[in-house]
Amino acid sequence: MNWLASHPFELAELLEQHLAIVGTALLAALIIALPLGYLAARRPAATGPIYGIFGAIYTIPSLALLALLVPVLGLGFWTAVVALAAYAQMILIRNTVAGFQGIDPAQLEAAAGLGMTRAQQLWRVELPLALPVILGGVRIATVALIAIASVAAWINAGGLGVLFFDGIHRNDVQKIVAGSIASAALAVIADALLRGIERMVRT
Amino acid sequence: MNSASLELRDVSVRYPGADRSAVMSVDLTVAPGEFLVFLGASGSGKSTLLRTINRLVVPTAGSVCINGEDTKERPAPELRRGIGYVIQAVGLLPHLSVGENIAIVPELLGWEKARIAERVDTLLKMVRLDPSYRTRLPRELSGGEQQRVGVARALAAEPPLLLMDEPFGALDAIVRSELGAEMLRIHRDLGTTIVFVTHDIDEALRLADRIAVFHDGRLLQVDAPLRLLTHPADSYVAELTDSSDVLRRLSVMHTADAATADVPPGVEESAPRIDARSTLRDALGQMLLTGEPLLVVEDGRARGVLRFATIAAALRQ
Repeated sequence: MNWLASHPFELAELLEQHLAIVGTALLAALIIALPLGYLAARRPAATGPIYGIFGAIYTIPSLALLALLVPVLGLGFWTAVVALAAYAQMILIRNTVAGFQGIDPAQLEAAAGLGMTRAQQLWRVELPLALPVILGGVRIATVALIAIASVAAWINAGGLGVLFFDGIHRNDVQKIVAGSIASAALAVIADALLRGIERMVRT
Repeated sequence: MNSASLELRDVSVRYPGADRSAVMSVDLTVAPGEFLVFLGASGSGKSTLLRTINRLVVPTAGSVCINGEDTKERPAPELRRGIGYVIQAVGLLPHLSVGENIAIVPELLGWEKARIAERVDTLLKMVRLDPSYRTRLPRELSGGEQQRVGVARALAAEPPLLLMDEPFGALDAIVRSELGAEMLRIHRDLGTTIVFVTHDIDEALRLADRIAVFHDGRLLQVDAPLRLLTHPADSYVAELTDSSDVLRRLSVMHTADAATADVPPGVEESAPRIDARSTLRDALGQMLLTGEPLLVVEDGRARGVLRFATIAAALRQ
């Protein structure tokens, strides 16, 4: 706690880096997961392969995944983003599939029967109805990525993980504790915020 | 009157991978303003055929014409906006209010806000829901109320043709006959052509101008309810309609059709009365209880007298 109080500017900078990595990774992950999840939900033939590939990536330990990416992408921010985005896929796709599959077929039949085009059915019916479940996935993925993003410091991507690695190198327990508290607090706040949004969307 | 004619020409549907056609070469013409009921057991092809009319199912062969225009000439969404559609599961969109659900098609058609609002009010009145329902969510409504909204939504853009796929099949008997009566009233008021699918023979007899009977994808017979009962085309129709059931036959005949025209003096003052639109079945029940002839009344004026003998004669005709 002492360290946090005495280094507000350094903490702010690390937090900003941490959030940038997580936010960018999440955005990139969503851009991939939403269409893939929709495809997996609507085309049973695609479900198996999509789950297989991203399920496999999900099982690779985070440090190992970073180690594998560094020779290809080098050190730094974007490598961390790629690793985290790959991690988030499985969580996001699973919830996207559940969201779209949870829609009552009668509602889809009605939407088509009333004369909505495919695009109108997607934007006016399917997405709004699947949104609460998809947002649930975003929340779980966000909390997971906030934790995993600490490892990014190991490849010079910055973030709260810097405190862990510095602390370990210099045998500075204060820094390790500070990093843990900051990262846990961030996860708790993000979780609460996203829960709030989920509740707003649900009604 | 806003009503369309409908013509099915040699329509067949075969689903991919199925070993027989769901619908086989159906020819059928529906007159403007007619209330036609598709009757059949599940798997008879009646719903599939209904869904070819708004192209939710594309026929493998044959054509469907509405007001003489082949339905495949227009993009399907545009076609469907001009055809009301009510399904058994209702399918109200749960994230939209009752009013927003009803407004879907007018909005797709780009109506002005004020016109839509006015139309929603009119429709809530038509299906006898309180105006306060407008802002409520579908899940707050009972099953019967939800289907009332389903009917209002289907009629929102004043379609000349309304398709109803077992619309009241999931409701209990009381609500079902209540909503059936509402549909008859709405049909009388609007003159919309209605095609209504059911497996319930009594519902079909109550509602239909004509009934089309389906079995294994084939159209077996199309006739008015009484004719269907008195002249079934084959043994399947006879069995499905239970046409030997005399009481059922009486339930599709009206007192005005059987009453003798003369009203003997004295009867007009003393005899119990019955409305000319009542069924002979109701009349017979009343006569069995009182043992007296009935005076048939139309708009307050005596039309004739109903006796056991006249009912028997009408049955034998």
